[in-house]
Amino acid sequence: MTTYHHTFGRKGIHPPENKHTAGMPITALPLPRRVELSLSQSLGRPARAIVKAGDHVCRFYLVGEATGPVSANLHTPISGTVKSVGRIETADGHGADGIVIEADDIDHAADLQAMCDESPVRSGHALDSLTPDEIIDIVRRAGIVGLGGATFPTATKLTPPPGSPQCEFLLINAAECEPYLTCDDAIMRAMAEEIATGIELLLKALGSNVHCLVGIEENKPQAIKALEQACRPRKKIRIIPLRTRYPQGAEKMLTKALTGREIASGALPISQGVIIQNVATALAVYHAVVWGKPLVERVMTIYNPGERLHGNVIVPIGTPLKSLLPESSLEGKQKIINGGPMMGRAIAGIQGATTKGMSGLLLLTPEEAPVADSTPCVRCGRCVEVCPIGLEPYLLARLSELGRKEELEQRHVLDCMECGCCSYSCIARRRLVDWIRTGKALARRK
Amino acid sequence: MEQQYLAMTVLGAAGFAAGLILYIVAKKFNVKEDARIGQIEEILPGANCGACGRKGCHDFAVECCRTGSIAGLTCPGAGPEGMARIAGVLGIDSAAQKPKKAYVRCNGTCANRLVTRNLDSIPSCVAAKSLAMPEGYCTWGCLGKGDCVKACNFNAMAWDTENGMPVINADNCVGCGACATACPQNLILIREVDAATPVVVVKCSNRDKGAAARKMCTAACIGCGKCTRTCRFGAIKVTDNVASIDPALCTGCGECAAVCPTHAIHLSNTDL
Repeated sequence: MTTYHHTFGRKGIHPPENKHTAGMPITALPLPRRVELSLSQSLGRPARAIVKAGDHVCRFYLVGEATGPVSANLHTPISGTVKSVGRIETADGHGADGIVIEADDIDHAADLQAMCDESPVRSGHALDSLTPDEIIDIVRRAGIVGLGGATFPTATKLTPPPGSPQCEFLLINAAECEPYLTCDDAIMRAMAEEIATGIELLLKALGSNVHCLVGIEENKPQAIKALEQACRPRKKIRIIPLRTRYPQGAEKMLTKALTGREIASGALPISQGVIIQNVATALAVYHAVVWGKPLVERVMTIYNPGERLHGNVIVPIGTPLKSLLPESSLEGKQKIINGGPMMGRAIAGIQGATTKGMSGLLLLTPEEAPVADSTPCVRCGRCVEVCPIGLEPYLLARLSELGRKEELEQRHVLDCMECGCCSYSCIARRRLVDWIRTGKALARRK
Repeated sequence: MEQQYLAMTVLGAAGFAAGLILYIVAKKFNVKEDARIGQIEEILPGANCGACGRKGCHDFAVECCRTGSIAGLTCPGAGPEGMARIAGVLGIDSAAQKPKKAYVRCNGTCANRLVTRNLDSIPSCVAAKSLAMPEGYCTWGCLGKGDCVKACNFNAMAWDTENGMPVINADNCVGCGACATACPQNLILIREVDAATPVVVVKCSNRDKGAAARKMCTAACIGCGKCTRTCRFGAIKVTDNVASIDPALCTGCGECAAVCPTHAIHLSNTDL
């Protein structure tokens, strides 16, 4: 029997899924001896370092303090000594302000105990007695950000600005529409019960009249089954299988697929009464509220066939990439991608450290990531057909090539989310997203 | 006969009423425009070519009157005589307006950089900036895709394919700043020049610490402060590991350029 499942419409693409690491168990890494924590781990302003070189810090200590509503706390995943506070290397090579911590072998048990005693983020809470404000406060203190990649602070998302419409639906993004990535699939299979509790906590934080819809693409049948089982006693959570289609995980597409509502150009999801959280964020909320654990690690997909680390791995935030990917694994590889192959960015080498927003590290061979020269546009219209927002990518690319700012604005270049469907479907291999990115910078300029 | 009088009365009354309305509206919505804007527009060619970097001749004239100066504003159509006449309308001395020129604060040529990267398939500097950089690549310097050259309306910038850097033709440069706005790395400095004093420019924007900067580029400012100590006029400051020169205090003696260990400070008359 085939069932018809919802999706967001006829637009978008269906690239080869390549979910080779699906079904591989989640492995945990031993704690690294050195972490490099970038202070810019969330959208918005970077956190402010509250430690200085020479300080001793204990695992889960707060080392960076949020500097505004769109900024998040930063905690250390290891116990040790702060080596330096200043510029550190990042995976993209641009560098950022950060904190370097090296592990020491001092016994921190007493520190941990003291922290457990005074922290409001701790285990043993009777979940039912928590008020919404308490949950949001715990989420804020734990430095949780959206783990889908956009890294928007979760606590801020849970407190919509005054005057916005009443939230009706909490949408959980478990689509994982990017090829290769399987980290969300893995946590749903292994930790469905924890995720369901996390969703319940998020629902509680949003108030009593909110229902939850979990969107999972149908190419993850085990994850759907596991979550359905975990959510059976929870009446407010509904699991909705979605037809596999990229970019279903984008907020506008997911809202369309799950509720049929459309978010207007430039508007927030709350304008349609929905709030969207990633499934990995729900798990982090569970860990913060029930275990009292701040966001110091995440599950990511490392696609590096033939090497020791290949599959879904729990990685402490700030682990240097050099300790994840051996130098030898670069041989015969075309690209290292931070994130998924569609929206992720290629990085130039094994440098920098992992961050909260890093969902995958893919080492792709020239066959998997071919690079072709671009040829002139043949006006076939494929890019227009697939653009999920309904833009005209070939035209936007040409206009930004010519530097026509006003026309770019009129044609809503700023609505482009750089999902890459146009570049993917272009038969002339034009660098449409690169040009549109240029056009977006041009349109933002005064 | 009666009908004729009636028609004359009605038409006359209607005409008077319409005139009255027009008079009131004209009084009420009267916008006082600077009279000089019209005068300046008469001097300008009126072609609205946009070469000044403004939307058109009217916008240019409004800008002249708003700032009360012609600093950074040049109309190539009107030429130097036209600009002198505009200065006359504004009541300022055109000779007192020092010309402005653009200078690139980076000398990261292919030869000077220790790590380079292949950007052949990348269309623009803005797109290049959003990409990842290899380890040891100077992330502060020129990205080498020529957004500045494309932005120049005066044919004052050219691309040196050998060095992978833009070259400024000081004769054509009017200091409009279009290139400075276009540069995503904020590398282009627009400063006043004086034919008598040579211009001294720190051709580096690398804010990494000296040791790190040195590993990226042989021409990087390493923030050693030798120039600050040498300068007799207190015109050089080192902030964020990179030297900057205060044009108001600089006399163009060039002593700093002579002592700079990495030759990051350049001295030139007008060309650079």
